Amino acid sequence: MVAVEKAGIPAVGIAARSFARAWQSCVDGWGQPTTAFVTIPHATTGQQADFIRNMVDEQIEDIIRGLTEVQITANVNGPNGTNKSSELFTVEMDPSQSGLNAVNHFFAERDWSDGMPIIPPTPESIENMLKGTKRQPNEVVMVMEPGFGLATVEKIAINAVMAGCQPEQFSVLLAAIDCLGQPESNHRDMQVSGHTEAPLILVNGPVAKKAGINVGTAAMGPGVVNTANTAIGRALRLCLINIGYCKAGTGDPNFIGLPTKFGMCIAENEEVSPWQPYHVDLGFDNDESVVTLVTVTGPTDIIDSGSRSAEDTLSNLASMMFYPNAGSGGYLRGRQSAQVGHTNKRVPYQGPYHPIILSPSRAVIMAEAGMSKHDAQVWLHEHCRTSLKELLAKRDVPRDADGRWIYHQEMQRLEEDPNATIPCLESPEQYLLFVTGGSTHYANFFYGTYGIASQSVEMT
Amino acid sequence: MKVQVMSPAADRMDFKVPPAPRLQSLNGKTIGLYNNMTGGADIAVDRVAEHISERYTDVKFERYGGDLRSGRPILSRGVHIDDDEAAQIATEVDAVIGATAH
Repeated sequence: MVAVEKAGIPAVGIAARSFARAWQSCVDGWGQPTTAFVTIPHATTGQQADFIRNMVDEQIEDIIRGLTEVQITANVNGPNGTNKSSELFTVEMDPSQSGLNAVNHFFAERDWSDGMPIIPPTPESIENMLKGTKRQPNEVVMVMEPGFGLATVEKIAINAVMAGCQPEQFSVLLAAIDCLGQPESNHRDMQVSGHTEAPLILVNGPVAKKAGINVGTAAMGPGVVNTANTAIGRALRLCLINIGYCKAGTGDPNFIGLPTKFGMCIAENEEVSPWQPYHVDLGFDNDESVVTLVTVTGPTDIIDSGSRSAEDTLSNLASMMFYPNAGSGGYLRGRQSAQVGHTNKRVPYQGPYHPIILSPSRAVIMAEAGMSKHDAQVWLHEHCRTSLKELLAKRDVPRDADGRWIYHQEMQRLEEDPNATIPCLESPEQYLLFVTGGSTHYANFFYGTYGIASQSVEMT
Repeated sequence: MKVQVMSPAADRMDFKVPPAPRLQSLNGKTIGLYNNMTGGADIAVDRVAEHISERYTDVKFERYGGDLRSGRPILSRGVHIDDDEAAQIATEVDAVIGATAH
């Protein structure tokens, strides 16, 4: 709606009431806090038509007023913010319970945390963190939405200290934010969607060991052994909150949130995996260190105590992946697109990518049967299918003036076959097989939602 | 004990958009109805059009969102209006009412 106002004509939006704060946060970031919008009590998805019409009826006066009067809206936290870069504060602490908690209280009052206690980011600790990179503190790594915050190396370091990161982990975090800065990560949609999703950081190469990332049992869970995994994942979340202004209920309107949003960082167990590492699949050298960031929801834990073959194993995985209305076959309507910056420039990318975290034991079953990782991906691509008739019944695909499909014309011949099925995803590589964790009969499936990007890690 | 801490909050890009001039009346105007293809958003904007048609004279409507005709912006949940499309829309209509399912 701000883009329309920017073009010179009035606009008014209609949104569900639970998204009012998110809407206001967005238009603040878009530089027009007075953008008109009215709210209705509930989201319209799945509601009966009469119910939607009644909700609209109650707001029609305000909708019309939005086109004829400029709204007066208090802009408490305007688009320019009130925080000077790396402003320094002094907090009094003492040995009492409240005194020990003084810094956390100070940060919580300003909505500067994820709700958990933080490590005080003192100037000395930031200086120490910055030893983990050769990049300059004032370098802007990206502009983080929805708040359009400038992610400088220094600001990232401050949030890294708060999360409990060590300098040897800082380059992994920086690479994750480099990934977010790539349009293909579609970080805006990840941040502002009402859908529940979170960034998953996948690490490959020697930096994993240097950073102390656990690649074995319980690597995604709590525990001292997972300090690096936890701290890096959490640091990214703090950056999304404090730099991107993606704060619960405002910039972040996820309908319920996810525990995974506190942070997820894992590395591939390259020593145990029978397959080449994921970053080599992408074309990086084996001895390079690479971070991949993918936006996901889930996970679904896939138990498999019964498979006795590679095909059984893959079939069990496939049975848990797709459900009706989850967007399978969406590639027939064209590729997903990220939109970047205040111009909303559109950048198409292939997606979604669905990470499948395979226990080494599951990968070994396939490798022992002579199956490469690519073979396994092709198997999944061929066997995970969706009904074309049902897909088209939900919504048609783009066509040219002669009725020809614009995308994937080679599949149009199937249109008349009521029993035709098509692959759920566009290509085998979208089944992102990543081998890590303890070696037993499990896998975790993450449903990919928005973007994916990879970035080599600076080795200091 | 005094502890000095640094602010983790980022500076934000300086970007401001002034509100567009409002309409004196909707009589004789063309109104854009934008739905982002989430469930029910089309029903919401159609209802708004019914109300406006009853109250104002000679009002026309142009629909945006899910338009599969060649050369039209294919706006949807994942494809939002960009600057170029907004400029095009501003040549076609006098105002826009938009709805999302959320």
